[in-house]
Amino acid sequence: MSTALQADSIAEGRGAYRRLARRKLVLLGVLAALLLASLVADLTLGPARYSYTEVVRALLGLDVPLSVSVVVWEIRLPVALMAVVVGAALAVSGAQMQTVLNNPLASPFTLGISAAAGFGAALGFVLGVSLLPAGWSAWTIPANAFLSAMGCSLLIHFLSKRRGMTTETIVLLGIALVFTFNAALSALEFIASEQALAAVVFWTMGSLGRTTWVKLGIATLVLVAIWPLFARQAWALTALRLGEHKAASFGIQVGRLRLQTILLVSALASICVSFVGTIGFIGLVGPHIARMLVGEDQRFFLPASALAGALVLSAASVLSKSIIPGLILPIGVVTALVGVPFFFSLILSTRSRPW
Amino acid sequence: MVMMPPVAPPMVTMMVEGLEVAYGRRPILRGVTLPALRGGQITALLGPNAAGKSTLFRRIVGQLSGPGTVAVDGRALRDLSPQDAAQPCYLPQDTSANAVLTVFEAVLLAGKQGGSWSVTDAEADAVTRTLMMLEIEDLAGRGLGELSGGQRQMVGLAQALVRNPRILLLDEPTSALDLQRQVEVLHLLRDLAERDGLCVVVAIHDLNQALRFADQVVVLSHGSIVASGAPTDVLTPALLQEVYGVEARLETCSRGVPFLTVDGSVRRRRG
Repeated sequence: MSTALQADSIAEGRGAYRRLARRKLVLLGVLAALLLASLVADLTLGPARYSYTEVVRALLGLDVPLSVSVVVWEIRLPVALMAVVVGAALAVSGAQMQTVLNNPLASPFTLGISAAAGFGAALGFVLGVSLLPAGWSAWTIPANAFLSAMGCSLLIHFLSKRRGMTTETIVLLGIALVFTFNAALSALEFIASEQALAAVVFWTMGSLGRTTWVKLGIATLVLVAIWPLFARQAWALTALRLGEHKAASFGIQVGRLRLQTILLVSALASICVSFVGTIGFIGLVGPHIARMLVGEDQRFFLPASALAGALVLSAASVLSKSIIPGLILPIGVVTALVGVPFFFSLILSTRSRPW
Repeated sequence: MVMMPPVAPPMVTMMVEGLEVAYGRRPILRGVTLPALRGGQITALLGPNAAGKSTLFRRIVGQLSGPGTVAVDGRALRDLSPQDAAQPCYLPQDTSANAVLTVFEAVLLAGKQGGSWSVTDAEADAVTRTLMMLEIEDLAGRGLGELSGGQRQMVGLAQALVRNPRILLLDEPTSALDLQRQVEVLHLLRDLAERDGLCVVVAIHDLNQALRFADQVVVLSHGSIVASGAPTDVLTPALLQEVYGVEARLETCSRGVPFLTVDGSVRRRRG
């Protein structure tokens, strides 16, 4: 091959890669724009319907009736933003669990984290047990859920530190924990009073309705704090998907990276689940949508997962308010019922293998 | 005997002494000491299945722990950082990865470990150059999941070479390749050794290729080195019978090139 021809090929290779990277950036931009649109649509919906102009004016602090401004800022905005933050956080947790466990089924749910959270919440509802000292009663349910979910995560963490633990074993352990916590939850439901039972059932359906600015702040803070830790490991995390041996041959401390990541995503997922209850499916589907759009280079995959998860949950929030006028359906139910057919159509329509 | 290339970069030397590895109480490596592994040379690591070849590689690069020392140019490997240039680059056998990445991205990834988020032109060009060296630049935009076994193996080689290693440990790098590719890859390794002073250690099952391309061979059996030296000195009928349980002869073809011909199998001795 002549040198000129070789130089041509090299320039072409670089160009092709730059185009690919640009296309991925554009896709991220599209996801972000859709998310913004969904967020505004979410704000217009509720018992009183506002126009888009009213909502945007209220957000920008322009002249609108006080009632509109109060409803948008105090009631709807925290809920709508919570959908975005929780959607992003659950999808990021799912993405990293799928990555480090090298398993397309992994999500905060597969590892028993949400089952544990449900059990912790039920302890509070049914037995009035609080894992917090007295005087914090307003936080009993989320704190119970969080501590119980974290306990489950730590259990998985320490079990997976044992020698000879494969990723498959960790997933199996997680599934065993799901069954255990669900059985414990059923036992609690069996002995629960009617009132407590209703509370437990409603909690496990998942709802953004309990959101406050403080909870939103905490969830956002945790997501923002954890993000750079993943970003710094982007190349190493991407390499994990080439298989454990290959990643190790690149000089990556596979075991340490995996443990660290599991711990971080568990904390992230536990926080979310403890605030909004069991919103399944986002942690599973967000990363899969992202993977189909931008592939698994973590520099694109991670933001794409976050945006896809946020978009799905925000869109679900819009739907939960608009399917039956005047009634807000539990968002966990909507996500699964509407999301699953959408997800199926995505999987069946893509030519390349989704995993 | 190795001819030194005229303008050689400083040659690297790796010493491997007394390596032991056990899985539980089952010893896999029993005190493996290799002859000096030098830049510019290809060493073929031979041995039947389950002799401990992959374990030896993984122990050398520090993925497995155990007694013994590995030193590159007099510096113990365990004192070096994972991204140190002296670290040997190990290409494992596993090519099953299905990550949703293009070939270009997968090779880029290998070179970027520990690096920043942004990809410079030089880094992107190094990827294309490596793909061109292996003559697989037409695969650049293909997804890993669409590749055949042989193509995956070529991508694995690209991932190893893009990191500009001085020591390359290859675990059966040609096992899935067609005949033409096998010969091309081995010629390329030969060139890299001679031109760039690369130290190549390659686990390989094809003894004739070992005869043809290796400067020295090391024979591993049941976790111990049973012979090492020049290929034609080591691969004697007695050794082949002892280690592989085959009746074989070392012949010389009409052009003076030695080759092995296998006449049959004898019952393997249990060791």
